[in-house]
Amino acid sequence: MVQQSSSHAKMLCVLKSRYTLLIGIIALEFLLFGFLAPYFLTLGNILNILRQISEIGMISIPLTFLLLSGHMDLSVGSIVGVCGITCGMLLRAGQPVVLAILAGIAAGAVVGFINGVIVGKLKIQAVVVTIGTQVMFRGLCYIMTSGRAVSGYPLSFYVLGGGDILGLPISVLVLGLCYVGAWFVLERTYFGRYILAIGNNQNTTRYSGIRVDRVKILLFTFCGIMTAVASIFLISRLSSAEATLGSGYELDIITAALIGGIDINGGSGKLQGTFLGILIIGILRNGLNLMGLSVIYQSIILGVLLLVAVAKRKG
Amino acid sequence: MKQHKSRLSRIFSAREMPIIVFTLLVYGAFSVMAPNFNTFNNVSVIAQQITINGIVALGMTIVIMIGGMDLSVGSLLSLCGVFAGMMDNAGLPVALTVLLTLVIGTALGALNGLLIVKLHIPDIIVTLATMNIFRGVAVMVTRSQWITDFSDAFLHIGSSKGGLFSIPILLYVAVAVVFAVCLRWLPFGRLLYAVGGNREAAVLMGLNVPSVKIRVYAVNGFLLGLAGLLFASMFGSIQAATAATSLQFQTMGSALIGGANIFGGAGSVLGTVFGTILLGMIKNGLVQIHASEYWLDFITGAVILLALLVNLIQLRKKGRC
Repeated sequence: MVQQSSSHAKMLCVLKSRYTLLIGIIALEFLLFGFLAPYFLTLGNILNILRQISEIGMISIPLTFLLLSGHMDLSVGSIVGVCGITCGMLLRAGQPVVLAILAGIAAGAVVGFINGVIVGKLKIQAVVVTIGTQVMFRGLCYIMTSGRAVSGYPLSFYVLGGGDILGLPISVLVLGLCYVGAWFVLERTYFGRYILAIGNNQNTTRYSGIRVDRVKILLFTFCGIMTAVASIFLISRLSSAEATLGSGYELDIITAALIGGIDINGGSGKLQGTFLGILIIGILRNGLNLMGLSVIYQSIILGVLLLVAVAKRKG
Repeated sequence: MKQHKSRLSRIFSAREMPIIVFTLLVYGAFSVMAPNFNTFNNVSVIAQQITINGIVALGMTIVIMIGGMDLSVGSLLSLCGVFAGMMDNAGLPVALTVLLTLVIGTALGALNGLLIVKLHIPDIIVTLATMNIFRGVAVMVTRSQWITDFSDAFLHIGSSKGGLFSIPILLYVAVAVVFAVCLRWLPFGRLLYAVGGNREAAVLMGLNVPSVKIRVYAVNGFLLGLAGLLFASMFGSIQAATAATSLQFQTMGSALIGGANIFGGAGSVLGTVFGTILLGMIKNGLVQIHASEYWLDFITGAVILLALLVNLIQLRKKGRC
């Protein structure tokens, strides 16, 4: 008993030190970019960062769930494309805003469900399945748009990506609510326990009478839905949807989660870690943008960061 | 009883049979739909088009065979291609350019393997990271410019003919034959099946699994160097940011269609070659029947998923899954 509590204290200590480190990195970024990019430390830019991270932040929630359960979804970037384009095309065709949004979310649920059924029922590795669906869904984006950007939405739609409530962007408020809800599910409900249990030992979980395949299908469907929500905010902010919408998102989000201490093999990690990871990456991208560094150099930095984050865990 | 099986029935029960039959069916279908498809000219165009993907797919096959995965192939090809082009622009003799490019490819491939083995990071994460790093470095060294204006000798590699066939096709065939022989008869090839088939058993047998892994990624890098050379030489120009961006999916598709198993331990040269031919044929055929090029990605993805399913069914039949 004593030993257990001492190992518990030790783990808490490790966790604490990781979060201290993450917050330290964020402080360092503020310091660095504050000096190097004059516009960086303004209220307008801080809100801008929050607005920019709100989309990948929303997707990071279900992806953290999936990673915790020992799975991965590499198709989220393409799902952003499919859902955003679905919604955008309906809006351009003059359909009511609510209907278009619901259709986008439904599209996300369907493609997420497809991922889930293939992984859960056919028991093929999630990584490989979602590589396949990534290519397929991206192809769907090109077929739907014929390579042309979809734009020209009703004015009321732009409120989502550009509007404020009490000075805070709507998308940031939604992100905050989602994180609180997700934290509750993960830490306080049976379902949250199931996710971690599957990540720790899938067979034991199944023998305990938990329908592992259903949990997986649910997780992937949830991932599709959250990704769809993010894509709707994204096209509202960008005011157009292209065939390449959201491509490369998976790298940002997975890197954020792994920096935040989510175990790549599943079973351990905290949602707040992912959130700090998202902040680190969002600030990094914004700061480098302000300094005029192109996206491709940013991806070198992200790649190195990903290696460092994962290598450290095994230390 | 098994010995009495006739040679013919053995051929028909081969692992590669479904893909070969399917390839022939698709060939027939396109021949009916597009009058120009089934011509000598078009077939040789397809053969020329698939050489780069084909060479890379063979590397991907051995990587998948040991239970790995390489997402960085397109980026590494681009990096090798721009290095080759820049060396040629700098006036290096072609032989030296070729040699250095192959060395760079091998070294960077080995780097992938080293990171996986030494840092204990899953293959897919390492290559996801290096995919971005290699691509970024390639763009950085070229300052986002097209690399072009190659010397005649350099262009010669991709365009000249050796007998009836072009050099790229001959190179592809040579690589495929070497791979087939290695995997079937040479110790290193058998090692790959051992490591991929049952890692614990391989370790218990005293095999140095990490070293095998590094060597496989090094061979893969060597092939990417070769493919990068061919890319620059065949097209006469190369741009770091856009060269071969979806290569990892195309080649993974070819390998999986050809019967390579994502859990490791299975894969064949013949299967992968036919997988490459199938994807190349679909690409060419879609153009011939005037279908939109936008369908290509969708069909590639669908074929990958289909291949995974067929793979699964074959495994279940054998009771291995």
